[in-house]
Amino acid sequence: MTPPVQITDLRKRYGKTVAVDGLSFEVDEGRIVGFLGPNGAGKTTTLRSLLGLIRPTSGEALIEGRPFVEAKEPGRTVGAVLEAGAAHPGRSGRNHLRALALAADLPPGRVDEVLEMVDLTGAAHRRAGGYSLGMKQRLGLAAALLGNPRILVLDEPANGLDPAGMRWLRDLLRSLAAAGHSILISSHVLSEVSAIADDAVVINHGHSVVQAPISELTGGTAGGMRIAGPDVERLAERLRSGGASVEPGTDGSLVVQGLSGEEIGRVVAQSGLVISELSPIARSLEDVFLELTSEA
Amino acid sequence: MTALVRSEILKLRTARSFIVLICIAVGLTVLISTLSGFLTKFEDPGATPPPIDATLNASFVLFFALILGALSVTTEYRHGSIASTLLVEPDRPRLLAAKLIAASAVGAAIGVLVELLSLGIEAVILPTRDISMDLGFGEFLKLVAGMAAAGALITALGVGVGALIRRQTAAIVGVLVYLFVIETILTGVVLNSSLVRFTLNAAIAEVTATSDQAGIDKLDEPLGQIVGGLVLLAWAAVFALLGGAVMRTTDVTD
Repeated sequence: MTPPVQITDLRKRYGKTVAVDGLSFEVDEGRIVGFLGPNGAGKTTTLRSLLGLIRPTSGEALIEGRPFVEAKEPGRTVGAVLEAGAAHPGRSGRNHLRALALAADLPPGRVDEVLEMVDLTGAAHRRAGGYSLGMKQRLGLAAALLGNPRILVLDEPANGLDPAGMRWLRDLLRSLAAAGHSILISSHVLSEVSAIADDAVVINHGHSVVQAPISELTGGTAGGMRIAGPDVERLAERLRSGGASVEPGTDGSLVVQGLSGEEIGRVVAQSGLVISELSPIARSLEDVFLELTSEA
Repeated sequence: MTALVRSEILKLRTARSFIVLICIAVGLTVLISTLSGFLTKFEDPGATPPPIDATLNASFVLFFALILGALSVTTEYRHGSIASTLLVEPDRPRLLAAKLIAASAVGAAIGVLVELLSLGIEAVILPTRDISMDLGFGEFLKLVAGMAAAGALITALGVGVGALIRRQTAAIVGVLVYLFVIETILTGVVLNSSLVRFTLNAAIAEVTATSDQAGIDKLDEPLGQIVGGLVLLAWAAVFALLGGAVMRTTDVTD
């Protein structure tokens, strides 16, 4: 089955600068994929290549198996937020959406529906130039949702949203994914991505560093094991001799890396020492991101 | 395509810059036509006939139509809305075609509006000076059709210029410099009389049937309204093709 979004060996060069360098990843149906990378990693170039706004130097960026410019019903296929407030400042938010709805051959009533969805009905007749950043972001989201598209591509959609707006966005995206929509979301707010996304694609210097479910990146014993007991000094000594890396943790506990929970249990049993806690430590997405994109 | 054209017309008529431009154009037409109606010495031998004077007074608005056409493209790039537009219509040549059709329709409407306004004002004022407007129905149609055609073609030319240059200030300044500096030099110094007729200003004068008074045909045989229209169409087509080529191949990065 053709994935909704498929990037294969994508390259984009601006003169001597390589923006994207052999990037490959996919977004499966009904999944929310966080697209992460440091500034200048090539995220925006990738998203714009996917949407036909930038011509790749080589490689493919396909929507449902074909370049987006060949989509039969583009407005119903993909909705995107690329830049907050990308509307004529002298035109009202409603007229901005009306023009898009007309071009996409969508029913006019859909404009008022999406305005209601993003809570902009009260400001619909105001000029977009007078909108706050959060309102501009909501207008961009309204435009993206106009055609009830099967795929959403969102570049920093939480920018400018207040906490209630971020909660609303999270709930909206989860409900859309549950209904089978595929969502590719680029964001610097890693806690938000962690709360929303199913998978993460991390890129650096234009190429993919990792693509995996977020639960796999952050869960299990990714952050090591916490162990505590009455004699942590001897415990640390035995664990080190068993091949583990041991660092002091909080409240007198130890953080053990390099051994699984079972292996730690064996060392403890052989040593005859008493322990009061042995638990896995999950890492935050931020920890994973910084580790994967660090230059060291 | 119809929906796309309607979308582009909606964009034009709902942007504040469009409303401001139309207000300025109409306001200036009213002012100039009124002053001309009261002050021009139509009785003098060799004076411009009133209908042609009214058309000349209205034809300066074509410059605003040209700017309007350019703005229909440049504002999309300036404010970043081109990305939203290309998301609902990623076929760029098709989008440009819709913009050309929409702008031409609006340009034709502007041409007709200001022509009727200018003729109407002089038709009201001149009898108070005991001067006859002296405008037959055939000539009336010729003048209105000429302004409609000129409005449509000039606005389409503006769209091509906007697509080619994309940067708003550069497009407007470029048009100003070309029309009022470069063409003046070309007309006065470089080109011979038969080539002058193919300049933009001369083609506009031919289409609007004002070339006798604009001094163009005093240089050579007149091209006439239809051939002048074809020259103006060629100008618009060349810029539309160049603009289309640039629009099709240029990355939208902001």
